[in-house]
Amino acid sequence: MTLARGLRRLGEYRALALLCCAGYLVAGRLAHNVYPFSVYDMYAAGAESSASQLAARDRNGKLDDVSAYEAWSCPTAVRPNPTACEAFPFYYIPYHDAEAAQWIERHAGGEGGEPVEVVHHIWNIGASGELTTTDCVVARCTARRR
Amino acid sequence: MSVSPWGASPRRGLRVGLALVLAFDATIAANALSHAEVGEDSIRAVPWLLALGGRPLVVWALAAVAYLAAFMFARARRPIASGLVALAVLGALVGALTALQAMVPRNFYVTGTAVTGWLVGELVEWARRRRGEPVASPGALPEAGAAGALAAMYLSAAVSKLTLTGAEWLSPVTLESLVLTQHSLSDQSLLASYMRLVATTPSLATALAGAALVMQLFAPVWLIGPRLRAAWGTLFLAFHLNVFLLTGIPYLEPFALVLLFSYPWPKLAARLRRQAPGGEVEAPERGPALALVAIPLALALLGLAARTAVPEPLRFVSGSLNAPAARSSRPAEAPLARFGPLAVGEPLADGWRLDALELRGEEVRFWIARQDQRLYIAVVPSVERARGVFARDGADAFHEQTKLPLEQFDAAGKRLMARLAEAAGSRPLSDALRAWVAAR
Repeated sequence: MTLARGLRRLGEYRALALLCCAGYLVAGRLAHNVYPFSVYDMYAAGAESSASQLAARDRNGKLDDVSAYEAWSCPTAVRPNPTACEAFPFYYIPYHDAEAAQWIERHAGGEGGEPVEVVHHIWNIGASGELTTTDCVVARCTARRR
Repeated sequence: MSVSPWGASPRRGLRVGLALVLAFDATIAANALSHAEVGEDSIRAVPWLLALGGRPLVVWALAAVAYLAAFMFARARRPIASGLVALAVLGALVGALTALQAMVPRNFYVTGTAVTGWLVGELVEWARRRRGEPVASPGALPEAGAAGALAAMYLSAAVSKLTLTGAEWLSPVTLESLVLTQHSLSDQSLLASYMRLVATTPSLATALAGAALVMQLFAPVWLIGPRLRAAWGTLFLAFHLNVFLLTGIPYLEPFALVLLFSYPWPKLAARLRRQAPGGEVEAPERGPALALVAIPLALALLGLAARTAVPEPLRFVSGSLNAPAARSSRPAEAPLARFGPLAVGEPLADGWRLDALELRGEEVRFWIARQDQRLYIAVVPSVERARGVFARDGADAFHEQTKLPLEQFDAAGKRLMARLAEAAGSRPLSDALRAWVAAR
């Protein structure tokens, strides 16, 4: 009985731990994601060949988070719209961009702003990790640096 | 040398720790559900789960049941029953969140994983007591079960990476994309500099990805003995800390549980109090070792039951429904005018037409367009069970992440896949796809 001998050699504690490990692994594969079983495949899908953020660009081309500015004044409400960009498709996190737009909305109004463009700042990532960037203008506004 | 970092000490600390994390999960899930509403992306496969959204009275009542069960679990009162009740309530809350947000809140799964393993150990211990056999160190077997399940979590993460993406996961692109999308453009702190360094140094990004993969793949090392438990546990903690620093994603539950299970806390506490530490875990004299082989079988059966009981859209949400699993980081080759039976310009359904065709290795991207809407459906030959909303036997098929509700392009995607399957005829679709790639 090789199996019995192997288990005895491991001892009950290790044998139980390893068998639970194997059992959970198989159960996860079968169930996929049904609590408490999971395949834990977050970020397993791998490469997104781009990245982006909704950002503020000043007249010198310097990029900042939109939260670096206040007293925003824009011709219309700022709505992130990646699909309207020529560079689309690119990777974006909708709720991140929505939060940035909300910041602009909540910090609107005020005087003395400088011209600031709201842009989708896009990084294209080459197969070896090299970066190139491009901006897609969403709105031309004025805002004051905080 | 003891096989457990907790030696022969009582496992009360582990029980209380697990119970606290369970209660924490119940609180976070109930709070999120209280404010959750059915949205465009919500999965309507299980209506009663959706009904929990925005009903604070109901979800907090469920959370109260989970608190009570966690309290009993911590006090070792009917630990198996209380653990199962806690898992069932958390399962309902997590299922509801998954259905409402179309996103798997995996942090909660970590606790469920550990408690599942713990309950397996409790059952073995209960069976031994029932047979009148000695239990040398009460709580040691539940601890072993929980540790085994936690190691499986990391191993499973590695297996998922290897099966979904293979060696390509080591590409610096994944980490760079994550960090660039989440880092602050204005932050000039040391931490921001570290993030920028990782995002702009492909070799560093690859090294970090490789280290994570190796650490996860060899997670069972964590189970071998107290020294390796502490060493590998420290690696797990460093990994979670690094993920938090780079992406801001706080994996609180695994961090807390690994911290709890990795170190000889009773021994350390005894040293602080200058008392003698607990003894060894005694090997059972009449251990039913061979019967333990039933554990993986029982867990597999439970997994199978879960698979049968829960509809696929809920099981696969965010895991693969719209996961970019099929997306390749390989640059597109020259655009194609035709692929297999499909030519650019061909109408599909609901006003959608095939707008462009791209080949990236074995992956074919079918760009579909309608007025100002455009997205792609990525199709990859599959040898195992096919994945993705438009999958067919022999082909994974994922759609691009998009704000468009699936209903809007569902018919077009299905039509596209039906055309491919028809043209494949009696051949497996995977073979046909490969033949069309070769013949381009």
